[in-house]
Amino acid sequence: MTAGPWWGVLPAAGVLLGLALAAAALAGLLDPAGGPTLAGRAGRPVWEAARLLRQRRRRVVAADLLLWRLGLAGPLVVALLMVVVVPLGDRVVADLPVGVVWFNAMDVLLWAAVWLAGWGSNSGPGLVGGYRFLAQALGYELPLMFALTAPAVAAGSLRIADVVAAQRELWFVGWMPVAFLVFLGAVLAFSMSGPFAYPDGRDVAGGVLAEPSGVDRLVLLAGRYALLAAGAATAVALFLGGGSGPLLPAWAWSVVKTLVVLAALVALRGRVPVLRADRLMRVAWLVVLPATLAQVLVVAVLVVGRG
Amino acid sequence: MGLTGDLLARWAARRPHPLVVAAPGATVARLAVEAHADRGGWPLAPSPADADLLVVVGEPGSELAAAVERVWAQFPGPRARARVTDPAGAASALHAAVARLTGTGGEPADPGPEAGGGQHDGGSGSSGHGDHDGMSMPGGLMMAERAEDRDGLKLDVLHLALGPVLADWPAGLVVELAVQGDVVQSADARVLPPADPAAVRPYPDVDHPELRRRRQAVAHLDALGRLWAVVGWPAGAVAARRLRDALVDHVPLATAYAGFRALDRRARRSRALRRATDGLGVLPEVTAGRAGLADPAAVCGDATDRWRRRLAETYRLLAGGEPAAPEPDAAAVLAVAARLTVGLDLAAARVVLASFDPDPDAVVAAGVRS
Repeated sequence: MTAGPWWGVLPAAGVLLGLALAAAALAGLLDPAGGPTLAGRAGRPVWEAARLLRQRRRRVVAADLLLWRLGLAGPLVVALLMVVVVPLGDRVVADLPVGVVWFNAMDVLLWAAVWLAGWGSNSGPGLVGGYRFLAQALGYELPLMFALTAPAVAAGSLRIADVVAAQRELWFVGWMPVAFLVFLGAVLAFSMSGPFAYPDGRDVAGGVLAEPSGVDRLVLLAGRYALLAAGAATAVALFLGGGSGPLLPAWAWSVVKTLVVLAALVALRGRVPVLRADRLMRVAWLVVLPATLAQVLVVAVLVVGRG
Repeated sequence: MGLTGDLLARWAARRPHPLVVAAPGATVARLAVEAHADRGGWPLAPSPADADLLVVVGEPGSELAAAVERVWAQFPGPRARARVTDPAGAASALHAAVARLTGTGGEPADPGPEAGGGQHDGGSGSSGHGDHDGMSMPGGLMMAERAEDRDGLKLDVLHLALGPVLADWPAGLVVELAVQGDVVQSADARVLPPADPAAVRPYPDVDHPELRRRRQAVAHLDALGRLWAVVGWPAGAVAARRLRDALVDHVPLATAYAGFRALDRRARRSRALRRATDGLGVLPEVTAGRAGLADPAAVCGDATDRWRRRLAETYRLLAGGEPAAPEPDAAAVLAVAARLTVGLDLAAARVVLASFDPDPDAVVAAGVRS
């Protein structure tokens, strides 16, 4: 595994935005309420970006502009900070010895970002949306942390490159399927998609999306897709063997696998009703958390047994 | 506008976001507008921040018109507005508005309120800031006052109005809430009347029995579309609305029936949907009777019971069943629904209101009669 120079973050950002764009195009294609023509559907990210670039930014009375915009930009920045530790094939921007913890820490930064995006706009729906994200985080964060523990325990390292290397014989998804599914659920949750599209729900006029317009809105929407892409890329490294595979070079395998996971996540959006935070809590704490802990226990016992 | 600007405008016009504001009594025109937006793949905006087009359907009365102007002032721009009063003119009005939006119609696009980037009152038309006169406060807004709440805490009270301009919401309905945190402490519901309340007839209230059957099914599917959109099940909402639009388009009942069966199965089998609506807004039959509802059995139970009853009723109508008697007590239903939101959080309150889905046209018509 080779760690690149600092400017390696630029191609990483390019790949991330490309993946986010692909996810948005697929979301347009699969949207049941999409337009009449296939090209019109797939081109949705282009039409939307053009529309939002043309639209003016709104200002709201007594909004906290600085914190609002920090919050709106947060998801995109966090997604980029997540992927710098995720290897693409055998290359990685920053080969941190605590990569798994870094990923988790970045995800927790989102709590502040999304809440600020809601609070900074000084509006009722925005504030409700921001708090909804915190309530949701209370449900998904602990299962996510333990789901991240499983591959780290199995690899005996917090370095993501080591986790990838430890999957040479068997992909981790093979013996920790619960952790894998919980991780994917958490990715949907921190990118506010599908059953977790609660902080930006239509029932509160868009929640954190109720007030921003123009470029502000574009950055937040792009950030959501980038988070989805970053989560998919991390899932590939942690559970699906990273860049390992026949024929194709390692980086290509990383991209192909990431696209498949991303497509599965996008396909799920819109098909399942939103899980409100009050209902999520029971499922998360009584079912998902114990199941994840059992998964970690199984992994730990197997690792000890193997010596 | 340069070449880049023209290109951006053309691309942007591929998928404009309309914000539809309907006055009570304009259901036929509203359905035409929503069907047209769906055919073009245009998403209905949930708030003015997301919208390019303001579509005013029907003839709003003075209070509703004032709300429309406030919302219009919150559009970021470029923006355009359209008025639709009869269903036949919906398509041409919308296309003219899109042409104005892009500036291709000859005149330049409306850049938005106060071209210098003026400040808007926050709240996307759905929130108020209470009393503005009184003490001068940051931004000219009053700070929230505190009051006792149900848990014995002293929390800020926020006065929040749901409607009259809100996505997936009955036309002209306003529910004024006092919330602490996001828990509803009190709720008052009313319907803002259109310019001519005496002319309002509830949508299914037609003489021809065949048309009445069809329109009752349309009204049920319309309500289900709203409920499922509020619940956050876009796939279900879209399916219900497509079916609704097909029925409006005089598709044979048998064809609609086949399409409905699939949707019916999908909804009834969805455990996630059940989880979203179970146990919300429970109305015992006794309470419903005491509240003066003529047919308590039609609305009692929880939110799940109510949407299942709607599905069953649609099923019956599409299978050729006799049209039901007109609903006499929409106003009482509205009052009961508002009362049941007290003590719930905003999300649950909206689900409860949408599960009753009181018909604003019927409320206005009943108000005129009495």
